[in-house]
Amino acid sequence: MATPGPLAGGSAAPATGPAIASVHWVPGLPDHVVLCSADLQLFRWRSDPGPLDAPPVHYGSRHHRIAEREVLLIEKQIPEPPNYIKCVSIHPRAGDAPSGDIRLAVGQANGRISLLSFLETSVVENGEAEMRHHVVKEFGSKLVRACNAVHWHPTDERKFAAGYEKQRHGHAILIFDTDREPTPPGSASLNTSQSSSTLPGLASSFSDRFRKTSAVDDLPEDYVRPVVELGPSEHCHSFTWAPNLNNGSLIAGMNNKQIRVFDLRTNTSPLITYTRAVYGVCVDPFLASRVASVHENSVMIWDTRNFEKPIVTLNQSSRVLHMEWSPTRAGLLCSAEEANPYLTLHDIQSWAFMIEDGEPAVTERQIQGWSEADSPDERYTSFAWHPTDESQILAVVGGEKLSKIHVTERISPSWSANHCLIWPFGGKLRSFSQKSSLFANLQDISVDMQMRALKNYGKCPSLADNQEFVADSPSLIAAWQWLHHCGRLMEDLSFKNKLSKDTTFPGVRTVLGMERSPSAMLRADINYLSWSGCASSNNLKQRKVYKSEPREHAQRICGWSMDPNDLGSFVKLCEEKKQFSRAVAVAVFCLELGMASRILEKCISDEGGSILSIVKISLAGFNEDKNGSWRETVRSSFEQLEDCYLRAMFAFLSTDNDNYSAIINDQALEIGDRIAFSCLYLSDEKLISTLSGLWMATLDGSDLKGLLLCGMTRDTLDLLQRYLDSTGDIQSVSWLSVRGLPPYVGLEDQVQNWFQCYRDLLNAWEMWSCRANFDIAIQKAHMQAKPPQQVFVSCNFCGKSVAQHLKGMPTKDEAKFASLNRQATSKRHIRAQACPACRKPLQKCAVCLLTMGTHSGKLVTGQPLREDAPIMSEFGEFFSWCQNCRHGGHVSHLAEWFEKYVECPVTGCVCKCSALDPASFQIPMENGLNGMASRLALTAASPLPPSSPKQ
Amino acid sequence: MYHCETLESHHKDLVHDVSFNWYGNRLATCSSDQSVKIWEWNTDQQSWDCSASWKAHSGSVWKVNWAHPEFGNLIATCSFDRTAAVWEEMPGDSFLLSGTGAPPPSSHGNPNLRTEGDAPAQSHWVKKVTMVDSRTSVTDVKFAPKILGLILATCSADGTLRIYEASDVMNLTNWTLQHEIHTKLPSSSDDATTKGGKVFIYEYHEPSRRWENIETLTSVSDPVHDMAFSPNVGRSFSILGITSKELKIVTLKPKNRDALLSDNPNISERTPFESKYEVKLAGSFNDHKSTVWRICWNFTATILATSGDDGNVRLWKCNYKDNWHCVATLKGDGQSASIRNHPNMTLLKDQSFNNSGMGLNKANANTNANASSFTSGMWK
Repeated sequence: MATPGPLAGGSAAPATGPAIASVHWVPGLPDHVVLCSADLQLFRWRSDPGPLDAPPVHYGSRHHRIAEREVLLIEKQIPEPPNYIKCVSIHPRAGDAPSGDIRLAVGQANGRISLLSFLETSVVENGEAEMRHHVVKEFGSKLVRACNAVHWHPTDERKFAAGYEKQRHGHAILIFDTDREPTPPGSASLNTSQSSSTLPGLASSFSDRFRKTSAVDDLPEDYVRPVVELGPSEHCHSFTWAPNLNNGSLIAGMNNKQIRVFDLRTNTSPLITYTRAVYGVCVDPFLASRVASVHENSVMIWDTRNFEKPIVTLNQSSRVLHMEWSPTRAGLLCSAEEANPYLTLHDIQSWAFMIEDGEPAVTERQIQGWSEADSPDERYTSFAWHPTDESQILAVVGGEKLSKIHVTERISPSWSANHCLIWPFGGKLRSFSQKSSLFANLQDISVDMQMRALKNYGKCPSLADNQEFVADSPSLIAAWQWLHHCGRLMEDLSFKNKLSKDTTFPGVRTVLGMERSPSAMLRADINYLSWSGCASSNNLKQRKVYKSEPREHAQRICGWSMDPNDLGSFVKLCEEKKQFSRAVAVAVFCLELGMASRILEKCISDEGGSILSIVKISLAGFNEDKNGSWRETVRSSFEQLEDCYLRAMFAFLSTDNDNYSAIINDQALEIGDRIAFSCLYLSDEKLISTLSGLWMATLDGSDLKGLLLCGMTRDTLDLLQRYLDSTGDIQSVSWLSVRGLPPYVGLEDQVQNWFQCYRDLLNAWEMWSCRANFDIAIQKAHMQAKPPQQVFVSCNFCGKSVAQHLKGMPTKDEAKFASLNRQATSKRHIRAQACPACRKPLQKCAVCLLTMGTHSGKLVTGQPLREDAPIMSEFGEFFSWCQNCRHGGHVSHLAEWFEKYVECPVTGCVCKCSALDPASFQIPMENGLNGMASRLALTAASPLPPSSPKQ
Repeated sequence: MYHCETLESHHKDLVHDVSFNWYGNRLATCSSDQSVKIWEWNTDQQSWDCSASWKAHSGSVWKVNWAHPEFGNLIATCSFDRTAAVWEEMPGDSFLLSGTGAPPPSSHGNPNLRTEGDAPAQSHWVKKVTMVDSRTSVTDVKFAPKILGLILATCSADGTLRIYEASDVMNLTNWTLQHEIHTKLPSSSDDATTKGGKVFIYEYHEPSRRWENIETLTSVSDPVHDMAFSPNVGRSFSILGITSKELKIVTLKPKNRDALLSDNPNISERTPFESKYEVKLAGSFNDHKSTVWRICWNFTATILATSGDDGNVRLWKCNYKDNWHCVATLKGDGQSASIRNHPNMTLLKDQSFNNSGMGLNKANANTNANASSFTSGMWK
């Protein structure tokens, strides 16, 4: 058990008052604790019942709260315990004892050692029934001197040892046997055989000395003779049993200058090392030769096999009060220091390995337990490791309070590409996999991307369809919708031809020429347009409208313009989406009052809606009388409207002097509508500054709705990068780039880097076909140079490529082909079993032993390869070979062979061809041949240097 | 309540590291019991099966790391026994031909191979090389991003960082020590007496052919326990997570090329050690209320996981405003987990982004930084 009391300095004052000197777990009873202060109290650990968030239960005064929801409740107490308790040791079999008979040996300052029990015992003395509470037995000292340490023998439950301060006539360490009866005073006869029988390790030779010393003195009445006495006239500061060292040893710090290892089997002189670190001697329960001791600030660790000097000295920042090895983990030493509000854990690593040179590595770690909010900085004075639970320590804080310390492992978490989070804890691996609802609730883009990829997001033929996969992101919906819209515009040749040839999706900035120079003159014509569709339209002032072709194009990009067709389709679209107020507002912006009323009418009849009826009424009363009540009323009240489009419409109707800033700066309006409006009503100069402002704002907001400003151009990269930086959505960025960017931009490093990142992601998810689809899309968008042919099969005789002659042959000229091989059975199935250059036969397949005669892949012609060029032969007839032994054959035959065997099919060749590339076995086999083929294809490379590389 | 799966590791001592392969279908664990185990994901039974277990070192094995699959099935381990090692898997006959009455595994197996319990070891892991240059415990080992080729970096307790390169990817027994960087930090870096920065960022400098210290993060002065660069999924900047007394998140933005040019028109004559990065402390959090030990990123660098002395694993996310928040707390024993999503997590309004730093460095520059970061990361 633990060493109680302060370690450093045997002269330390005994605990007085309420101060808790030490805590001890009761061996065998994992929830019982003995507290040693002036009282001896038995506590029982208990956690608060009820749910986790319930307030802590109040237990009255006689408890210690050791953690947020855990308390120690008092179970028993020994009334009137001995005064001046110096040290306590709990019986090692306390857990096996009948009903709570927890016994402890208490060493006192006067040299007596009381064997106490938490169970009351009655003793009849001198004929009277007298209750002698709790004291089972007492072991007196013949001399009055402080007992510095007492420890039960860890395995022999009848023995305990006590270490004493120096006295001229006394031994420093006495070992007692609890079964031995008190020796009557004056009796000098000793039964030495008793000692040797009860503690077999003890040599009888000790009794010689024993006899000499004890016979002289005048002994107290109840004096129990010790079975062994060690260290005559010496001083013991601390000691520990070392049951595993030499089959039972005792290690003691003596006389302020030495540590001795007493071998209890023999009478040989003890192993001695000289040091001042004689306090708190304790031995690692996992390594009997590893001993720790302390002096002031230094913790020294010794190896009894090499006892001359300490293996390592650990200097602490202040005096060490208490120190214990972990009973559950090897090499873990914990110490409490005087001035530190924490305990220090010393993790001593791999002892034996480092013994020859240098010091073992010690990692130190500070641990703190639960503390009440008001006392975070109190000192830790003592502690006890839980005997079985490896992560628990009970510590004494500030001498009064107790705190449970949970020593956590250093958890090292790890993520997989498949969103599995795993970490080791307590010898087990804990994992949260993708299926856990944890990740659904985290709403992370990594999971979303995988889901979207599974549904083939991005490759839908119609751009607009892709928005269905991203229903939760308005920004992405807008981006795909706009791409779709703009794509349709580009089908209009009159629109397309105005732009430079390589434009794919022009933005507003593109058509206005703002990318080239920010102050490009737009040279808009100023028109004055009158209202239409209104009875009193002639009375209304005409509105100043700026018109030019680029402006009109910009408007069309945004969705609507003054052109009746555009407007009509826009309004229809809005009506479909039930955005009636938007349709009305846009109609009004286009000065089509009649249309606006029609929309309102339709809406009211379809949907109802009191607000819109009122809007219709107020719209009917629209006039521009500067002093009229209509204008005043509208002006004073329109800002309270909730609908931003209605607000914008009335702002437009009631404006003075063409001041439209309220509309242009209203962030609630769709950015497209604001831009289209600006293109209509703002002068060149204002338009440019407005658009620049909007562009900066979308960049800052990394909002993909801003795509209609920049289109799909080089400027878009900035916006996409911002979006990517803030969301991590590499998938949408890659697909938008593939589907939208012009090839010359797509070839830039930045875009290629995105592609590569997304490819890597898909590969890591093992979504090969998805990756392949993405690659195809890149190829189609001409954003990747086609890799040149890498492998050529050359003839062994002439060294020329066996497929080389096909170069330049027109595909249609199949007759020419057929003439190469008279055995050609069909026009489609062309075979060439001999080298076309030297007419020598080609290699033989190792399995079927027939000459191989197959051209692979598509016909190589002089012209660039066409997508639909006929495939000349089945994949199963391809050449394939082992990289190592260079034997090979038809793919289908090899695949079949390696299904069953590892070794090469060639007789006598011991090459384990199919085991050579372990990576290939990680690729799941989709179905027999294809899976195998993909493996072989992985290993395939040219057996000979290419005779004449194509490029 | 979220379901946490548990798996008995059968290690006889503390498990120090768990590492997924690139696909996330294999797992390597290492422990103080000096052994390494490999686990395979069994799709049919939805469980992890141990496929190999062997004594890898003569001391605690600290870390294990997988190479990119394009280099084969390779793992690197490092240990207290002052060595680091590279292991390659050799599928045995039994693995290939299971169920066809195949002969017992051939003789080129690993002599250290041990079978464990009722799960028979199915594959051989052969030690390809042992790096014995360190004179102290090797505390971390990592393969470089695949773009740099087959490169391995180790760091040891005395503060030395070593970079090895496989001279021939077909022959993995041959690794050359390319660079040795002495960081001049004391070995036991739990020692809090050293003043100043504890995190150094190195970048390979082509003209001098050396790894140069381009940045010292002065914002971190406490002992650092772990750090991790975020995987770069197309971002224009790197995020570095650092754990010490608290979690610190630092962003490294390559300085805009234009800005660089305007600062110093003669860009080619720029001193080689001038920082190319704009370093910003994105956040510093003490939610663990105690020491933070380990850190790791998810594959897309959108969630960060940290573990601390409070026995919890915490997950962190960044919102659109560039603010990091703890979004989930998972108890170490997996018994409870709580999530709190911040309301502004999904909003897309009023962002204020730094307006510069849009120029994308060459992929190389970023990955170089990546390669170096982990190494300087392990000073405890």
